[in-house]
Amino acid sequence: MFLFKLISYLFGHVFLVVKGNSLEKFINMAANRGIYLWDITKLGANRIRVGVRLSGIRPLRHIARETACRFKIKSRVGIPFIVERMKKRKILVAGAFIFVIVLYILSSFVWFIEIEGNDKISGKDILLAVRQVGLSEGVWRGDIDTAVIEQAIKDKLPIVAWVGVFIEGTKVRIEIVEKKIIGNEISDQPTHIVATKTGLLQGILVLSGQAVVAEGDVVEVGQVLISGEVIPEQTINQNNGVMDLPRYLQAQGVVRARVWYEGYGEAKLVEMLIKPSGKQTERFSIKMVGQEIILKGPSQIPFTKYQSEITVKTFPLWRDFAVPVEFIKVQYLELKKHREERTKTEARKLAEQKAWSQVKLKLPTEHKILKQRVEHIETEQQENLVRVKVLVETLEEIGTEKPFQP
Amino acid sequence: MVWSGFEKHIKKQMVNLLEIPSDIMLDLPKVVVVGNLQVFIENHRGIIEYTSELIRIIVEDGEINISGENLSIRNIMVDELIIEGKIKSLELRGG
Repeated sequence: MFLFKLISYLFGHVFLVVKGNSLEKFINMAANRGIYLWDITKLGANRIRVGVRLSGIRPLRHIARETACRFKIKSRVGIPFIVERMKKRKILVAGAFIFVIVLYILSSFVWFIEIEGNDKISGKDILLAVRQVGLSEGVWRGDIDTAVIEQAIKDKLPIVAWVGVFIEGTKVRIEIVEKKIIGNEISDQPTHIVATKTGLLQGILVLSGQAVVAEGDVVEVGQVLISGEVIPEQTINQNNGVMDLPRYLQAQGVVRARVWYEGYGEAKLVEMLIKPSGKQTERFSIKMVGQEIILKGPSQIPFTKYQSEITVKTFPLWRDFAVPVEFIKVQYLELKKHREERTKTEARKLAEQKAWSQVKLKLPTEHKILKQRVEHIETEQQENLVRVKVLVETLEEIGTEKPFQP
Repeated sequence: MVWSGFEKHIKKQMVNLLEIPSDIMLDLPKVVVVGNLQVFIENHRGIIEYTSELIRIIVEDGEINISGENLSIRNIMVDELIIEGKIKSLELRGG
């Protein structure tokens, strides 16, 4: 039926009002001649309304003459009639065509240039670089060669590590990744190697600079280990009587030292703790325009002490419009006081763990443990506490560069 | 006259014997009624009368009378016809 309607629309059909005394004959003759009629409705005593295809009108005229009926076209439907109407309004059709053509022409120009990923380079510099190879607002899209532009940006701005130029409709997107400069290699300020930690020097290897400490020395934090100020040996220039000026350089070297760490931990033999008891309830609610409605779960929380975990689900943002409806799930975990009793060994273990974790915080990533000792601090009086001290001795590098003004 | 009666008799016998649908063999109308909304007639021979209350259709060996309210012919082709409206009665009259 849909196909039939579509065909009728494409080829055009009309509704006729037929007047006459022998309408049944009119319908029969039409049907016999293969003229398709539809929606035949009686309008009055001898008037009917009939739907017929455009191609059927001419034969219907003959039939009408033979049966002494007369018909008038009541309404016209379909593309042929629309085309006919459009022929009378040529300017309108021309306007629509011109609109489409202008839109097409305008869409083949670049109207926007978007730059992404630039941090240190200003957008203006990039636009300037790009303009020189012929990419600016208002340029025809066909003239743009993205590979050429990418190369030009790379050549003109050496700080750019990677660049991508994408044409997206009337927008050109320039994506830039800048080179990251590690450290400040460029600065030529002289530096010392200083100690970062207090320790006993175990080995010192000077690559450049002058060592001012020796193996076996105990050094403090911040003490200069290898100096960047090289004082020339006196003996060479002694006969001139003129002191040579010291040279300044960036000291380099490896300084290893023994470093001591101490950690302290304690644990009670009997302790009151607050722990989740395992009981829990959940509450689902929906929040709409500031009002919260509980869907499921108790309105009064049945626990005196509890911990709650809230998860909120919202609808995804659509454009800038946030749906003001939230689903909230709250999980209540009951908390209970709990008397924890430990044996002496258990308490000691716990205290040791605490002490160790303290030490581990202080340890550098690269180290070698030489010695470690766990001490239990025993007090005379009977106590609820177990105290533990952990002592660790490591071998590690303690030198770091520090610039100085000569 | 005798001969045509004999021919019909033979045809009927053949239809019974071979179980051929009788509307094809005997050129009889096939009427499908959908509730009181629609009547579909195949093998009609034309309309004798059409008003919004009554439609009379010639078929082989007689006529079909359909009465109701607001009757309209949905479409009409050489041998097929659909009538819509509020149908009240459908009558088959042998010729």
